[in-house]
Amino acid sequence: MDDITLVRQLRAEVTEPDSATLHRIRNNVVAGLRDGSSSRPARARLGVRLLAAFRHRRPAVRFGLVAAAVAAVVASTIVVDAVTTPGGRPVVGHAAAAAELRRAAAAAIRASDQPLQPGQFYYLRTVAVAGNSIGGGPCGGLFYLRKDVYETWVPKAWEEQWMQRRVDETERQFFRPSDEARANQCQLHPLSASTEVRKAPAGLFYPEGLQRPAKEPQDGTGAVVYDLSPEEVTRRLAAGNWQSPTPQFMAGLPRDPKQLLERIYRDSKGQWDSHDDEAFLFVRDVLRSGVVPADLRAALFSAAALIPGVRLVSDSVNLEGRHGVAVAMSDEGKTRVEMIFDPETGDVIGEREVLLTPNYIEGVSAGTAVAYTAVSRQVVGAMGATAKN
Amino acid sequence: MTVIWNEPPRDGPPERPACTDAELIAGSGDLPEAFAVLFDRHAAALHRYLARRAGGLIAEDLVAQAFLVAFEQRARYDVRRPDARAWLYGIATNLLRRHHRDEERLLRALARTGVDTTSAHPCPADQIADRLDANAMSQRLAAAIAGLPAVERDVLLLHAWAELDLEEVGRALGIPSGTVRSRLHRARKRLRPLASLMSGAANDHAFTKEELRYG
Repeated sequence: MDDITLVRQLRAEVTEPDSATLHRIRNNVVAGLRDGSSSRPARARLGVRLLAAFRHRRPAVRFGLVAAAVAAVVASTIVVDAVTTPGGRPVVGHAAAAAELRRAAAAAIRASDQPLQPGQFYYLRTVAVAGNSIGGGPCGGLFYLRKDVYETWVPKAWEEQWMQRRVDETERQFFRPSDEARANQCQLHPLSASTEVRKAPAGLFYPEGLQRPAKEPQDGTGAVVYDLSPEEVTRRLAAGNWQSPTPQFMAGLPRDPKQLLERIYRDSKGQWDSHDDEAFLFVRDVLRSGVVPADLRAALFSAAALIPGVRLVSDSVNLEGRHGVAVAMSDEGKTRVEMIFDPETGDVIGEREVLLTPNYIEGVSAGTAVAYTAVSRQVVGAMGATAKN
Repeated sequence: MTVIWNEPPRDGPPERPACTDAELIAGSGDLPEAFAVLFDRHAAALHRYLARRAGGLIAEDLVAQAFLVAFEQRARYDVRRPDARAWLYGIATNLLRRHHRDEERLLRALARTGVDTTSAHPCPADQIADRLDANAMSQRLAAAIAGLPAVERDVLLLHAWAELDLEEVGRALGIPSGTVRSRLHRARKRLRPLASLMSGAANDHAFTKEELRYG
């Protein structure tokens, strides 16, 4: 039997509505149309209706919910225009976000990547502030922001040795005054003072799987060094993905924005109503790696411009104070995630996540940034060097 | 205008439309009576499509919302298209995305029991055996459809349930018809094992109920 015929038979018993139901719906529509024909457009009424369950005074909250509610309605701009961020900056709609993303895409192509000379490295630096909540034990329930710094040196030939230097939890910031006192009381682990250095070919700094040997191999300087056979490197490079992109993986991605976005949707297999959030997350994941070549960066910007619900935050600032343009998605109205980029150069300069719901994290108010990064890339003359030389 | 507002929808089949959907939409301007006519033309079928996907209660809400959104976006309607169905179903399908959890729940319930829990129908005794087979198939089909990516499900059901042709599905979803074809192809590829299983059961050898259910 033909599969379409089978599908046609499924739920075929559902009938058209009876006239009473239809009449009821019609009255609602007619009432809405009446409003719509007057000076106040129907959309305002519809918007209010859709949002009635979530209404909240803070503009940030409205932005998120509106974005979430509207994401599904193609090209619709219900109420978004009038909305501002917690800082009072206007949040504008999808068309503006798409325009900025396309500008960045063009810039990425124009600027291209500064090629490495033999012996030179890309120096990637990521400073990340992220929310951390302690699950259990005497410190259970504590919430704070922690700051981590990662530096990575990428060689000209991908398979050669990379280096990573990371300092975890260099700083800590508590939101709830009581938490700081409790942290002292429960003896929350001290801030990390040590720096961890890892070296490995192809950036494979960690062994496969979740388990790490109790004693990792180290060189004379205390750096963790994994010497992998060329076969293992080849095998693991073939297994690249959006979160750990490899040259092979990136070369296999389409450069046509529509095809690329389709691939993203397919690979991210979004959960029901967070499909678009998931796609936007994959775009951010791969760009965050800092190793995406200019042509793919351009395609990713253009693909992000096609994701419904992506909105422009006209001006945003990364963790280190560098200004850029941010495009944002709201994660089901709970938080707003921003990707901050420089549309003049086509570089991603950071990300930010802002709470839209008060007490989404208990005791933390809406409008609070709970994750913040700054990323940068430079060409340096030696592994371990941090400035041009 | 009040006359039209308060006129209940006709129960019988509508008369041959005097003008096309496009003419109604173009003429609606600031006087939306024309939209009431559009409603009378399409609401019942649209309701059925949405009810099949998400249940009657949600359908009721979505039909109203779809027409309001359509009215709001009437300026964007491509008046070269006389038939507004693709446009209306596209808006409705977009609105439906917010109810994917409900749709999923409905499909999963169908997959578990093979019975639509939202409506009860008499089941004559001599049809019980047939119904069991059909049930097993519905269960698997519902599970397969529930597992489709959202876009593929939209394409499949706009085609199979709303009876839009592929070009119309493309317009409804705002994607090229080539993409519609490939998505439909992918969706059907996932369903095809079920279809061949069904014809296998009918023609080759008898599958046990267990095979149909779990095979």
